[in-house]
Amino acid sequence: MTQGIDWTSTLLVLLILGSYLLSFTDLPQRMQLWRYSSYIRKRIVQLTEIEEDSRRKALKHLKKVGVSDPKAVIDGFVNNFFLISPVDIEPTDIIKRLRHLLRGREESVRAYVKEKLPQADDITLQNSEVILEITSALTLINKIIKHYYKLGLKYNNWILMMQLALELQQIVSLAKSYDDAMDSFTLGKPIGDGAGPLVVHYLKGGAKPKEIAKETVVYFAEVNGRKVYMIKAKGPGSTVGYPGEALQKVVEDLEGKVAKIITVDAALKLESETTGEVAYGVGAAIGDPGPEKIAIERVASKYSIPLHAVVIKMSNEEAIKSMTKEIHDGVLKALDIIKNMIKEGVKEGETVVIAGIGNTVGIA
Amino acid sequence: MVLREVNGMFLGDLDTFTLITIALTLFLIAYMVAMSVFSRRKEVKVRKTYTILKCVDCDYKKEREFKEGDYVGKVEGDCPQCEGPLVIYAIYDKEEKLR
Ligand SMILES: [Zn+2]
Repeated sequence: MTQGIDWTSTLLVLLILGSYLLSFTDLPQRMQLWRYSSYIRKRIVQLTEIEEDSRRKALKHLKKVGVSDPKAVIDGFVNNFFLISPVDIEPTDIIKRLRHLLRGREESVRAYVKEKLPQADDITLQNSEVILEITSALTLINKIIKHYYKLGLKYNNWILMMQLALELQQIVSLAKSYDDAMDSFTLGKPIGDGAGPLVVHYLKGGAKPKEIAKETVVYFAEVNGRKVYMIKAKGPGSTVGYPGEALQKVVEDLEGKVAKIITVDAALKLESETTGEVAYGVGAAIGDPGPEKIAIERVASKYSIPLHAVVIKMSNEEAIKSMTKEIHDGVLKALDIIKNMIKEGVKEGETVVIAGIGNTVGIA
Repeated sequence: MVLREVNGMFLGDLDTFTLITIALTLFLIAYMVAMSVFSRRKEVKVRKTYTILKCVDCDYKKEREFKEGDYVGKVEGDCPQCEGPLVIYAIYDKEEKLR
């Protein structure tokens, strides 16, 4: 009889009060906002660390190749060189306009890097370019995340906060793989996306390269009586070249007398697929913004040449990171498939054009 | 008998509210312990890059760790068996379990 509080009824009152607060106020949303925003803050710290790490790597690389003030070079690159996509509600000649813009951007990036690295060879220039692009991309990712985070806080938009928090894990893992990819470019290691050019490298044997478009080469060889033209970007620097333009030139030079065109490229795998799986089908296997792909499609349809595609599957992260054994096994499988396609699908004396699409860092 | 004694000693004096609080706290502790045990179970894997060299003329094949300046297609010295050119055939990562 000494205690004056009846715990059971107190509990009941608390429960009712609590359910009122949860049902008829904004309190739960506030709590969610608070929880998600603290989660996002932690991830932003992580993203900032990744960004700083990439800057450190870029700084180290630029110093190594002889830039006196690497910090200024990085600061001058990041935030600049954006590209405004062309008008698409009036699609006439959009590819031409897009191509013009893309090439213009590439040229000004190259000019910037060249100005800062006057003595460097082409390979160093190409690799430095990619290193700066990655640093720039990581800065941009970080900035966009911070933008949405601040917007969410400013307008108490808890749905935005929640969406951001749920997406962030994927974004952080992509940012991490970008940062990991830096090592491939500073050291000149082949990356997963190099699968296409590697197939051509194995196929060409001892054939000699001829530069047919900017940073793009063609090899010619005769295999079992079939004339085989093989296109890939010019390695071992980091570049994807202009395979569409190159293929168009080769086919036009042959006046369309081509029995088959085969494109081979790395493709994004579905989560349930395994890395290094190889599949084939019809169409242009190339993941550019448009101009190169359409060039291949146009020239193939102009002369009614069958257009085949062979793809080696990998994840987004694997495509930019150093090539794995599984992807290399996939390359060998794709090579067998293509050899078979030439043997079975092309008659003796006929011509076939093969384009290995992808980045040639570390692949001559 | 013993059980009832224990019951009387520990639980008999406590009211519903305290019991719920204790149960919740125990549940939370168990949850956190379980989480930390599960997250620690991840295997540590290391990726290492290898360079594979092959002779153009014979079957000679050699594997070593990647070093800067290597690229696929680079001619690196002569084959120790037949003195043909030794070419870098492939460069790739292999995953190794630590331990
Ligand atoms: Zn040999």
